[in-house]
Amino acid sequence: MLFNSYIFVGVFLPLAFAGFCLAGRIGPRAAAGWLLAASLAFYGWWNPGFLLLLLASIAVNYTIAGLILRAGARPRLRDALLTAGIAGNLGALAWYKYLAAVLGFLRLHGIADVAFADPILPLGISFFTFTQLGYLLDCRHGALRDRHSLLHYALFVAFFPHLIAGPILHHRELIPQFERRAWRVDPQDIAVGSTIFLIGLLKKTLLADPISAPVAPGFAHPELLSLFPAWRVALSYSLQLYFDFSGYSDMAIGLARLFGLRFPVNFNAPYRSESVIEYWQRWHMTLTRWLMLYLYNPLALGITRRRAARGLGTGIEARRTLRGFIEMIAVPTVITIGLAGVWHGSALTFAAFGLLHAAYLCVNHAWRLWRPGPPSAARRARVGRVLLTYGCVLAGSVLFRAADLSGAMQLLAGMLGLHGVAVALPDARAATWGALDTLWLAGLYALVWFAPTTQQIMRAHAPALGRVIAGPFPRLQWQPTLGWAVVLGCAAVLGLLSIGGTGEFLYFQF
Amino acid sequence: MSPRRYLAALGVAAIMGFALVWAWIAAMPMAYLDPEYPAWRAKLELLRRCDLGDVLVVGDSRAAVDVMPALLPVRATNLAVGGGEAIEAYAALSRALACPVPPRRVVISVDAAHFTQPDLFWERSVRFGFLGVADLGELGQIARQTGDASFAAPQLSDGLPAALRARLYAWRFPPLFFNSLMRGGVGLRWWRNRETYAAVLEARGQYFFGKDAGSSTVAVEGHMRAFRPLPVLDRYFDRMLALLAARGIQADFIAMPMNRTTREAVRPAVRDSFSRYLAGYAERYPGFHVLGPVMPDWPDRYFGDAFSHLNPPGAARLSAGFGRCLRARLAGNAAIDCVTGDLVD
Repeated sequence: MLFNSYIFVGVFLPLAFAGFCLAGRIGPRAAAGWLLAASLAFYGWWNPGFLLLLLASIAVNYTIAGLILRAGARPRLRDALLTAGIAGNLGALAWYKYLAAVLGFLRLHGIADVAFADPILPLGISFFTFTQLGYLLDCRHGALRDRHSLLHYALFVAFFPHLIAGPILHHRELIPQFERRAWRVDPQDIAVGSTIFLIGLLKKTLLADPISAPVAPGFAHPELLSLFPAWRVALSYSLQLYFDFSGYSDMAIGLARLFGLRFPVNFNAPYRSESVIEYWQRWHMTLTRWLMLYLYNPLALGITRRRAARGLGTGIEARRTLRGFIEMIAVPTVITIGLAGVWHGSALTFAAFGLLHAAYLCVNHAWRLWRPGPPSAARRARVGRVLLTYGCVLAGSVLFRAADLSGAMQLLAGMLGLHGVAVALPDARAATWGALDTLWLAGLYALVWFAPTTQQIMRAHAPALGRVIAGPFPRLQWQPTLGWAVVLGCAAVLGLLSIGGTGEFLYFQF
Repeated sequence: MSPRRYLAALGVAAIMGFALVWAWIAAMPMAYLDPEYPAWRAKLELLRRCDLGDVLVVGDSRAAVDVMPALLPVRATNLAVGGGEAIEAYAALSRALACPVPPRRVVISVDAAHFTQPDLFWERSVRFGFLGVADLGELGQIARQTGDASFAAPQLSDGLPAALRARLYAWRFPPLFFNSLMRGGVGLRWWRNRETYAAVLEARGQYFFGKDAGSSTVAVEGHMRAFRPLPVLDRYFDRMLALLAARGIQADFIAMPMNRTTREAVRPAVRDSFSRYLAGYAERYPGFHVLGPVMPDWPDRYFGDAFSHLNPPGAARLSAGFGRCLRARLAGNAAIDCVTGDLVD
């Protein structure tokens, strides 16, 4: 079920909310139980068969978490249980997401010929798997002393606003909200939540979907794209991806808030980043946090400890040596971001995307270590840094979207003018690049670079977990006024009317 | 403002906005719907007026383009529509036959592909109001009888059940028309659509698609692997012929030409199966005649687009020949090729 579908907006959400209101009067367990039932119905709507997979995943992980906590002072047993849990989770992920591609690769290169039908990818498997892996790791490393109740754990994993495309939640930010709350409906939460949801819906339907017209035909035939069409396709995709995914995240945050729950921020104007390091702190922030917490930090810590044990330096001076840089920065970065790329899918383009960003990050870290002086605060220098960062990200997004590596190279070659210079796209549906298209693109970039973000617009009402820095145009901060009600009422009409012609969210495929 | 009052104001603004948009969408389809809509609307208007003449043409887009009633020697009306199949043809005929003076002869022209797969059924036939809720109810029944749900209950991206979608289209439910509203600049298509509407009325239902000076693109028949009519379309074709037979109206099946490139790409088995299929009906219904080859071809220069729609010189040529054929048919002389107008030995 899509958030931008009639069935969700017109049937599921009103029913889920009405049931929540009634159940909240009975008690917290009834409210949580209702939300869990609604979330399972939401997940099962697409393919009831995969509901069993989700339930099995929750049951197995909850059991393992309990066993790890009960193992107490027996570290070997805890490690064995954790290893079994990780293997089970990653095994399921590999089965559905990677095995067919790996076997296909082996078959193609004559290494092995094993027949395996590519299974249908269960929605959100990468998200609920990572959420639960984090829980298991925290159980093992002492971040959790007692297991939460099964109801709260299951709701933490399956709560429908984040279930299929994130944000990737940490138990510490959601389960305490389940435990503390009185589960009463608050008009303030409804006002704030519905506003955030509407902004997300508008991002998806009015910004992301219309800009996508040249993307599919362009990526289908990148070899035909000359300079301007190639740029148009790449820029359009970059904008589509941002508005689509950040719109989805806004909708998820808004939905959670309707039920009185706060999610973490997932996007913070990533295209305004002045470095690729900053970009990763602003784009899909909950994935970056997960990777840092459970992959990068343990890796970096392990390496640092090993170096310390060998009597090698671990401080800033040691990092400035080539060996120190490679061991303490490059290796954990390449492993972490490389895996972040592969997390998105089994295609080689995702691995290349991860490695490219890992390379960017290494260069960025090296520059920070060896640059001659502090970065200039001058406006021109900052603009230059934003544009350079965005250019790097744009090249990465071409790899991210292309059907294969050769297609990505073809499109990048087109952007460099190696296919000549022309205005027309190869597909008639995408037509030519006219003045209106240019204006539309410019308008979207103005939003991306200069407008306040959703969280900044809602800043006065604690829209999400974490601190939100004030944005530009303070007058655009939302308040429950008649003016905002009329504007958002009309925007709601636009958003709802656009539902008929919109498609799936890009991040559902992951 | 308290959150409660804010939410109430937001709700009122949304309801009022929605109502305004709905009123515009329902009342002014000519202002925003795509440029084919006025042609369909003109055909509905001809039907409403019962201004049909002696000969009625029903069928698909090739028939809609190729037969120019203004060039025919008898008063005729072209009710063929883009993507039209037996369902649309049956709907048009059943309404035409309810007129005080029904047509004397009906010409049916549907290409082979339009017996084998749905085309623009929901996007055109239903959305443009050519088929209503009652027509779709009937279709639902026939789909159940034949076990063929390819029209009645296709999985469309909106995820709506077919019965609900039919009603929403009939009510011009705004989300289903919003894309057109945006693409049409809310009301910027009004003037051009009015012109088209007047022109199609004037041309008694005929309108053009592509007007290129030739096309060598292989049309859909050239890509068909086999001719397997869908059960639901077969049933509607049968119903149409039964309806005409019951009213004693003669019906001729005349295939519109395809370009030569397509003809060369057509598999012989497809052509033979299509021919046998039509011959079977001609045997069953004595008033139904298949005139000429079922897949005639003309030089590529007469075609205006990739779908083997004739360009203006091609349509004029066909209509001249078709006119001679019609005159002969109405006079009881069958020895005329209806596509070329030449005498048949």
